[in-house]
Amino acid sequence: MKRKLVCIVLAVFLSLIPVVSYASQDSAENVTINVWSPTTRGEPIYEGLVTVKKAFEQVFPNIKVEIETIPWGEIHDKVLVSAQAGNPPDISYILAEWYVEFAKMDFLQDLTSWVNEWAAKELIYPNCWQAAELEGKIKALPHRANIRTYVYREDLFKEAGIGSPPATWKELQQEVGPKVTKDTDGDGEIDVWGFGWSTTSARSPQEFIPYFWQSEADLVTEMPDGKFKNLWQEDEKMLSRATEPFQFYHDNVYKFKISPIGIRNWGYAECDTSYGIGTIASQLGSTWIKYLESEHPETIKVTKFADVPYNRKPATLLDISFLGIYKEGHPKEAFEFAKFLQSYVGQMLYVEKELATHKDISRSEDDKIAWSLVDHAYGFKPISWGKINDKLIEAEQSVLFNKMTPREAALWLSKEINEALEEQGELSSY
Amino acid sequence: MPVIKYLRRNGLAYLLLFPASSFVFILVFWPMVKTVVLSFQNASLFNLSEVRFVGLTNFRNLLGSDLFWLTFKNTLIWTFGSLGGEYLLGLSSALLLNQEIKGRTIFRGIIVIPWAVPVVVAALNWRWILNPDFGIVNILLVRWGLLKESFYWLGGINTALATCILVNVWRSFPFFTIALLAALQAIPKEEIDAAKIDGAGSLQIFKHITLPHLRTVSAITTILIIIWTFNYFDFIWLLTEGGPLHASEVLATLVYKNTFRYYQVSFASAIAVIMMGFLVMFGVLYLKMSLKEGGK
Repeated sequence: MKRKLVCIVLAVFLSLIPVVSYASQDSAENVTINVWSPTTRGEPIYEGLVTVKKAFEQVFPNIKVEIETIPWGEIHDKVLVSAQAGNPPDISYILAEWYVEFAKMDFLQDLTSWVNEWAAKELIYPNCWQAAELEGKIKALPHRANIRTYVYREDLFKEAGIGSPPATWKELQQEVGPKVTKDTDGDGEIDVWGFGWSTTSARSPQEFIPYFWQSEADLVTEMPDGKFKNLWQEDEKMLSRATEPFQFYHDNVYKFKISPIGIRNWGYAECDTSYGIGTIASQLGSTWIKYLESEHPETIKVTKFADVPYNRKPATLLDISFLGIYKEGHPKEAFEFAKFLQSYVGQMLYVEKELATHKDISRSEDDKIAWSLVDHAYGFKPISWGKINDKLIEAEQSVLFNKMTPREAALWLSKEINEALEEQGELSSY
Repeated sequence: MPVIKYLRRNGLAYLLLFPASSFVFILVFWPMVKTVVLSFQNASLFNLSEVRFVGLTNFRNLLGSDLFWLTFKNTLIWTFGSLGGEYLLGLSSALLLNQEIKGRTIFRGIIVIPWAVPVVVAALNWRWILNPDFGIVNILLVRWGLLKESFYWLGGINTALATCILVNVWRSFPFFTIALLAALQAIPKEEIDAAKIDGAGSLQIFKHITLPHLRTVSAITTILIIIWTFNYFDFIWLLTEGGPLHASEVLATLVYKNTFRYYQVSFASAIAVIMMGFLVMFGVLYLKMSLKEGGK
C-alpha cells in the first residue's frame, strides 16, 4: 500500500512539472528580459554587451538581462519557431531581409510612439530610420549598418601596374580585371583572379541586387496601391536592362575570364577565404571585412575600399540590421535596454565602430570612404525577400551554368517574383 | 463489476504511464495530426488568421510540379545510393574486423570515428576537403594526374548529389559495421569448422553460412537506414543546401525551404505527409520484422 502511494505521488508530481515550471516566472516587479545575440563569449563586442548589461542593471535594478548566444545562421529559424509558439526572446538581432517578414507576422512591437518621444532619435542616421519605417510605423531599431563597397588588394593591383580601382563594369572587365588575373607560377593555371562574389548564401542577393539598381531595372517597383510588382515582362526596355547584371556575371567568367568558373557555387566563406589568401584580388564588401584579420592579417593591411563599379548609374546597398523587440514578453523594459544599446557608449561597446548607426561615432578613413557613398546607397524594398532571394540565386546560377541566357533568366525571374509576391499578398493589382 | 475490478488491477499502471504517454502524445502524435490537417489547408505564416480548408489543392499543386518529381527522384537516389554504399563498406569492414588480426580492438574503435563526429563538423570539413581552390582532394587528384584541373565536386550539377552520397557513406557505414560485426561474432564457430572439414572454400562459407546468418540483422538495419536517410536533412543542407539548381535537392530540404524561407506551411506539410506515407510503409515493415525476430 505504501509503495502504491509513493507511485501515485510520483506520477502526480511528474504530471505537474510543466505547470510548476511555467508558474515560476519572475513576478511583475522583477522582470527578466532575454536578449538573443549572435556574439560569442570572448569577442570584444560580447564583452561590450556584458558591460552595457551591467550598467543597465545598475540603473534598473528590477530588470535582469539574460544574454543568450545564437549564431547568425540560427537566429531567424529560432525566432520564427519561438515567436509562433508565443515565446520569443524580448530582443534579438534581425537582418534587413527578415524585418518585413517578422513585422508582417505581427511578432514585433510597434515602437513608433516610444521612438518619437526618445530624445536620442536624432543621433541616428535619418536614412536608417527611413529603412526602419513600414507603413508609417517603426517596428525595430536600426542597430548596425554598412555600405557595400568595392574591396580590393592594393598590393596585387600595384603589382599589375594599376593605380586606381575600376569605376565602371567596363573598366573592371576590360582593363583592371585582365591585368590582375594572373598565372603567377607559370604552371598554366590562374593563381590570382580579378574579381569574385558569392553566388549562394544570404550575401548573394546583397551583392547582386545593387547591379539591378545600377541598371535601372529594380526587381520590384512600388505601385500606386502601395503594393509591389516586377515590371520587366511589361516593359521591353526594362527587360533589356534587367539582363545586364546577368550578362555582367556571365562575361566575367566566360568572356573576360576574370573570375573562376567555380564561382558558380561559391558561398561567402569561399569568397572571403579566397580573398584572404589572395586568389581573388577584389570583391564587394565593406569595412567589416576586417573580421578576416585574425586569419589573414597581411591581407587586411593592403585592403582598400572604393565605390562599387557601375554600368548606368552608381548604386550600392545600405545594409542594416535591426534590434527587434517582441510583443510577447516585456517590450517596454526591452525598449529601455535597447536604448542603452543604441546610445553612443552602447554603440561603441557593442557594435563594431564601422557598423554603428550613430552619427557621432568617429570613423576610420576607410569607413569614411564607405559612408561617403550614402547618397546612392539603398535598402531593400519592404517586402518579404525569402522566396525572391532564392529565385534570384537560381536565375543567377542558371546563367552561370549556361542553362539559360540572360534574357531567359530575366523573364523567368520576373514571373517567379510576381508569383512570390502574390503568394505573400504583396502583389499590386495595377 | 468487471470494470471496477479491471481498474483496480490495472489503474496504477495506467496512472504511471500517463506522464510519459502525454509527452509522447504532445510531442509526437499531435504534431503529426497537425501536419496532416495543415496539408489540407491554405496556411502560410502571413495569413494565419485567414486559414481555410482547400481540400487536395496542395497535393495537386505538388504532384503537378516538376520540382517535386526531381526532388523525389533525388531523394530515392540519395537514400538507396547511400544505403548501397554503406552496406557494402559496412559489410567489408565488418568481415575484415572479424578476422584474427593484431590490433583488432583498436581498429574497431577507429572505425566508429566517422559516425561519432558531429554532422556539422564533418560536413564543414568535407566542404574544405573538396574545395576546388585549396581542398586536399583536388590537389592530390591533379598532382597524381587523375584530373587535369581542380573540380568543384559539390558545385557541379552532375556531381553534387553523388558527392553528398559519398560523404554520407563515409559517415554512416560504421553503423552497418557495428551491427554486422556483432552478427558475425554470433555465428557458431562449429558450423564454419564443419564446413571447412567438408571442403568448403571461403566463398562457399560466406555464401552458405555467413550471409544467411546476417540476413535478419541486414534486413532490420537496412530498413532503419532507409527511414533515417530518406528524411535526413543536415548533411545535404550543410554541404550544398540542395544546390546547385536543385541538383541535390531532396524532400527534406524542400520542406525546410517551404517552411522557413517561404513560410508556406501548408504546402510544406503536404510534402511532409507524402514523406510520412512513404516512411510508414518501411516503419510497418520494420515493426513486422522486429516482432518476428522477437518471437523467435
